[in-house]
Amino acid sequence: MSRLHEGVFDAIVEVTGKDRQSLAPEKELVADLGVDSAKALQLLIEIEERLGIEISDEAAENLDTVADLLAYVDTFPAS
Amino acid sequence: MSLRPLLHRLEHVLYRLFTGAVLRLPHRRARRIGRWVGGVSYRLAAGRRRLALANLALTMPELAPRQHRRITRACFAHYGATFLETLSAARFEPHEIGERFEVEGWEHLEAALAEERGLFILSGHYGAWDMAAFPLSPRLGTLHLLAREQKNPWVSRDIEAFRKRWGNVLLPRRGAGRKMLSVVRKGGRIALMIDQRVKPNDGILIPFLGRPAWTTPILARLSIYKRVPVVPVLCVPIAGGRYRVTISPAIAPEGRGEDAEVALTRRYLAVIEEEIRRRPELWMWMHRRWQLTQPSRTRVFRQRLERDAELPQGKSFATLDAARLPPSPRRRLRPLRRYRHAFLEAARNVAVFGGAGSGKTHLAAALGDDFVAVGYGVRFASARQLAGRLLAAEDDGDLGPALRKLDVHDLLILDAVCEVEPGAPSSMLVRLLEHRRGRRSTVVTSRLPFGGWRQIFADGTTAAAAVGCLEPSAVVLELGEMPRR
Repeated sequence: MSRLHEGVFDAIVEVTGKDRQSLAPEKELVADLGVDSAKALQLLIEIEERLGIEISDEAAENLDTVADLLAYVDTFPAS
Repeated sequence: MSLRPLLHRLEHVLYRLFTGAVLRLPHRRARRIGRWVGGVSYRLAAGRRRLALANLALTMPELAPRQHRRITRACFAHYGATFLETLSAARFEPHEIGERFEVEGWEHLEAALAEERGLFILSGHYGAWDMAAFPLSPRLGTLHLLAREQKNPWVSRDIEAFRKRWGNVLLPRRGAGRKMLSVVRKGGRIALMIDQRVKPNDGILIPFLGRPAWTTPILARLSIYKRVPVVPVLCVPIAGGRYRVTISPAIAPEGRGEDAEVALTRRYLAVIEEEIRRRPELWMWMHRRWQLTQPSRTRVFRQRLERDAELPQGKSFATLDAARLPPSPRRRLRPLRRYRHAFLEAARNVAVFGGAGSGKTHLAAALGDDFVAVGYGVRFASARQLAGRLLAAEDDGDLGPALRKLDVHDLLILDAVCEVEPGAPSSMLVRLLEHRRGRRSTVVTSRLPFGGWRQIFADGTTAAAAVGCLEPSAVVLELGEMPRR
């Protein structure tokens, strides 16, 4: 698994308190993982800090599932 | 067909007529009439009045009930006045601002702006908050205001127009955190208030006026993340239809992580708190600020509560032969189950004592099941395992957040306290109890009554500390030594 994906999973575990095993790509952030608006911000910050990236507003609007997040961070060059 | 759109239109027409009438009055008279309107609503709005009195009794118990009534009356009059004068202020022209407003502490604002990192203006529901932006806007440029929208879209639009008049932009509450991040990232300026209640899942429990209250950590989180200074600004009416805006020194972000968020949020609230203590009638007391618990009504949430409670299977009041309980606990259970809300709000505790097989775990779990069934958050845990988990969290430097995570549970059930090992685990248990004391309710089960806890905790001081956290506000259910079966 890439460092970026690793960081995304760590961030989700940190923010939601869910088990790493339960984080299937098709899981929806809001419906399945209970990411409400306060947690959404925390998740955004966690991912940005861990990966040293900046998630744009437009992208953040459209990130609904774990897979979306993984696909999004893949657009950044792995450093 | 729903009547709502029609009612909204009607309401809007009335609102327009009303604001039109207010604008025809001289500003100072609008304020006087507002005070009178507030005085009338003090008499009519019995529910709000009682809420304000209850809040005052909770946070300022040192004052006599007569003083609570005086403050509440003054508070209603003040809010009536603020409502009308805010409407009336729509007439203020830019050149009047200098005469209308007296600003103290410009240097603090300038110092914060010099950092060029974006800016948070922190305010509270205190004084004439909506007007604080008037004299600052010319200096600040576009100010993003975080504000609740009105239910009536027409009225909402009018109020929005008023707030936008000085070049400000409204940030809707939905997804506010992310939008705020996007604004500060561009070096923008945001004004917001954090002295209102948020849902437990969205907040952290911070003492406000001496009582724990759910508060948003978002301001502190963003301030820390983007190193943005927070400048407290309050606006109060003074004589002659004028206003004084006080800018306090910026609160700079310090540290990282949840502990830092808690420390900063406390400092934010402390600024507002100091002003409230000075002139309590200027704060909005008719708001349910200190409600710690709110039962969830929906089925989905109820299911989530059941899952999160981790209660042992099949241990409910339905499976408990209540008739076989000794008379004393049976008697004490009744008010406990009847006044659940009052019990949780007062952060009271339950201690279930009894010998092996007396059914103490069953009784504690049944209580938990009972609270979950009406929508409260419960967590059942073996005291020994939980102490172990907290010790592990401490090793990772995460004890503060771990303790606070448990705050979301209205009722924490610590089973078999006597099985906690002496030394570090039992000290950790005491820290947990100290953390919850006066904030959230705890249930403990133990083979030994409080008098015998010295044996569990090895040393007398730890035992006394644990008992001291629980006993003063505990309902003791003594099941006796004899096994029930």
